[in-house]
Formats: sequence, C-alpha cells, structure tokens
Amino acid sequence: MTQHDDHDLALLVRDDPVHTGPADTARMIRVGTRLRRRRQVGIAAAVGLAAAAVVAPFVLLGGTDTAVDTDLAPAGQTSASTSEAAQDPSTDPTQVTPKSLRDLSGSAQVCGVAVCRVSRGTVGSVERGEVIGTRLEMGTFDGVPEVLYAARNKGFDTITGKPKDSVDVLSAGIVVDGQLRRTVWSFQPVEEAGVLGPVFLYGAQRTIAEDGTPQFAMFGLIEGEHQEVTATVDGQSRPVAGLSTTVYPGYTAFYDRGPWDESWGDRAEITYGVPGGPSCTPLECGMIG
Amino acid sequence: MDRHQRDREFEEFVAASWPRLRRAAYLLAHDTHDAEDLVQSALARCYAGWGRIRADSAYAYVHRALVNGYIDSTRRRTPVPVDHTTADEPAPGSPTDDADQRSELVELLAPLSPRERSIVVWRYYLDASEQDVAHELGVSVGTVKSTASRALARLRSAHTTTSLTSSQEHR
Repeated sequence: MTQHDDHDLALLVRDDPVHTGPADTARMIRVGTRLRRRRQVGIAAAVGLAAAAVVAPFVLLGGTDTAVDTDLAPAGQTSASTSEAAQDPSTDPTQVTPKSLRDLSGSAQVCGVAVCRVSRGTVGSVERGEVIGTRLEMGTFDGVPEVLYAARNKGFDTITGKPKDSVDVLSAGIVVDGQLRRTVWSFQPVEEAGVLGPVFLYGAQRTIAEDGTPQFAMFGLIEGEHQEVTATVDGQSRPVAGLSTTVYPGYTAFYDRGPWDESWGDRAEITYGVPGGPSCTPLECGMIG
Repeated sequence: MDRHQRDREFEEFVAASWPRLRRAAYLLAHDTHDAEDLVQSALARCYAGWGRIRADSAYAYVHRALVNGYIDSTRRRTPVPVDHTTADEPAPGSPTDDADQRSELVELLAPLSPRERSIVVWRYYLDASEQDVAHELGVSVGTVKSTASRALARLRSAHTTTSLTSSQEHR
C-alpha cells in the first residue's frame, strides 16, 4: 500500500455519492425493542436458574423459609438484581417485569409460515426471477396464498461477491392478484454444499398466528428427493405439514407449523430430517432473519 | 434514562449516521435489499443495547455490527425476511433505486471477495484504522494494506483496458 494508493482511495471515497433514501427509524426501534426483550428474558432465565441452583440445596436440606422467600421467587417473578426487568413497566413501556416478559408492544407480528403482517400492510418484492419448479402452497395468509418456490435470479452471487449468470434460490412468497411477491430470500443450496446442509432450515421462532395463538412456522430443504420428512419433539415423530420434490430439483422442500411450547428458547426445539437419513434442529441449521 | 430520551438520542444518531452507513451497506452487499436489511439489523442491535453503547461509541459499534453482519450473510446465506417494500414498490430506475448509485468505488469493490470488500469499506469508507480492521477481521495489517492495493491495481487495469478499447473504437 503506497501513499499514492491511499490518496486514490480517499478520492474515490470522497466522490462516492451518499445514500439519499429515508431511514425507517420506527422499524429499527421496533426490532431493537424486541431484541432487547429477548435478552432480558435470557437474563431473567439465567438469574432464575442461578437462584434455583443456590436455593435448591437449602430446600432439599430443609433450609429456612426465609431463604426460599428471598432468593427463590415464585414463578413469574425474579430477583431484584435483574436490573431493568425489575422496574415498573408503567413508567417505561419498554422495561419489562417478569409478568410482562412477552411482547407488550401491541404490534406483535402475525405470521404465516414466512410472511408477517406488519403495520405497512402487504409486504414483499415482486419476484423478477424465473420460477424453476412448482410452487408448494403453504396455506393462506391475509387471504392470499403463501407459497414456497425456487427462482433463478441473475446478477451478483452474494456468497462469493462476484457477478454470476444465475443463482437458483429457494424463496417464500405470497401471491397477490396473481403476482408472485417474494417475502423471504432463503437458500442457495447448490452453492452452499459442503458448507451447510444437507439440511437447510429457516424460521421456527415464536410468532403469533392469525387467531392470536403463539405458534412456530418454518421451512427448509433437504438434499435429495424424499417421500417423507419428519418433525421430532421429545422423541415423538410426525410428518411435516407439507413437502414437495418438485419445488427445487434435486432437493425436497418442506414447511411445518404448530403451536409454540413456552418452554422453548428462541426457536422451536424440533428436529427435522429424513427417517434413516440426515436430520437437524433449527438451533443447529436454522437462521432467524 | 427513560424511553423517550433513549429514542430521541437514537433518532439523532440515526439521522446523523444513516446516509453514510446505508451507503456503506450497499458498497458491501451490492444489492439494495440486502443493504437495507444489513443496516436496519445493525441499527436495531445498536438500539437494543443503547443504554450501554450511547452515542460516543455507537459509530464503532454499528460499523462493526454492519461488517460482521455482512460477513455472516455471505458465510451462511442468511434468509432475509423482506420487510422493506410494499405493494407500491417502485419500478427499476425510480428515485428509490437511484439512491443506490453506481460509482467508481462500487466498481472497485465488485470483483472483491466478501472479506476483501469488508477490509476496503471498513478501512477507507468507514475510516477505521488498519490495526482495528486487522484485529476485528483476524487478518494481519499487511493483508489490510495489500487488499486495498490489489483492488486499486485491478481498477486501474480495468480503466486502462476501457480507455484503450474506447480509443480503438474511435479510430
């Protein structure tokens, strides 16, 4: 690196136009608040476990009532040392007490498998890629079909950062007035072979169904064509909600949904796989966007 | 700090940092939607930790979050929920698309690998020191220097080729 190089780069930076579009600060605050609450839930859980670890021997050994009253709070409460979580939410709606560890914003996203209803209404980019297989219908969301599909896109390969003639990407979307709108740009499995896979999972976080109940929803891909993909919870297996071997040639695309178990952490603790074949949990293979 | 004060501070920070930060995200991702997601995600994380980050260290924090988010996305093809366009999505060539203009710097970065691109953007566009970039990315200071140098050499070579081609076409 020479001073000449430094100078040239400084000129390029100086001449580069700054972005002129608007910032969606409200969305950042909404997402940031959610992240903050998740962290607080984690802290509260850790404090609860730590308190239980300290107190359990006292209880087992016939410890005093005082120890239990002060250190092992009843379910739904926490130690006073949980800083922000112990404050009164009436003074600051972003602060949470143990009674309000769930999203209090009143704008909880209501989700299908992939698409979520947000304040701005219909979401999604018009799919400009060429759909290369069939569309797997995952049901309807907000009255429109939600589908899983693969599209061939031209342009840059964002994995390598290099221009590429085309990349085939598994995506999810909705069909509005006959127009396919992409809501999630997901996997480019061929390019990722050897790095990820053979199971690719997306989603599985806690969301709210249209009927107001907590649920999880996710979709994925498994290398090869399989007639069965199972979801296993606590040793009990069942078929996933839907699958297809014609969405993404050479792979089995599937989706799944179900009620949320409040004992789960950030993501549904479910193992997805092929009987006798590869399997994975969202914690190992999944990504939350 | 109450919520209103925190939000006000954060909004001021976003207003000041957004144009350059959003452009940096585009320089990294070379894609309008990915850039939007990267910068939104980095700033949302920043908001989540605003109590301890505060304005004085927010720039360094959000720069690191942005570059790390980009590198992660290239490693694992992070699924990107699209929450940034509406049914009234503008057509290509509209003012929104024009906001991500091509430039010499974009051309310079295009052929680079994600790591190389991160080095150049972080070092020169976001104005971090060579030592900081090297430390954060786990490379040597020499690698930071040589990456930028190689990218420039490639750009100069491309310009020379373009100039030669166009001068031959004019003959």
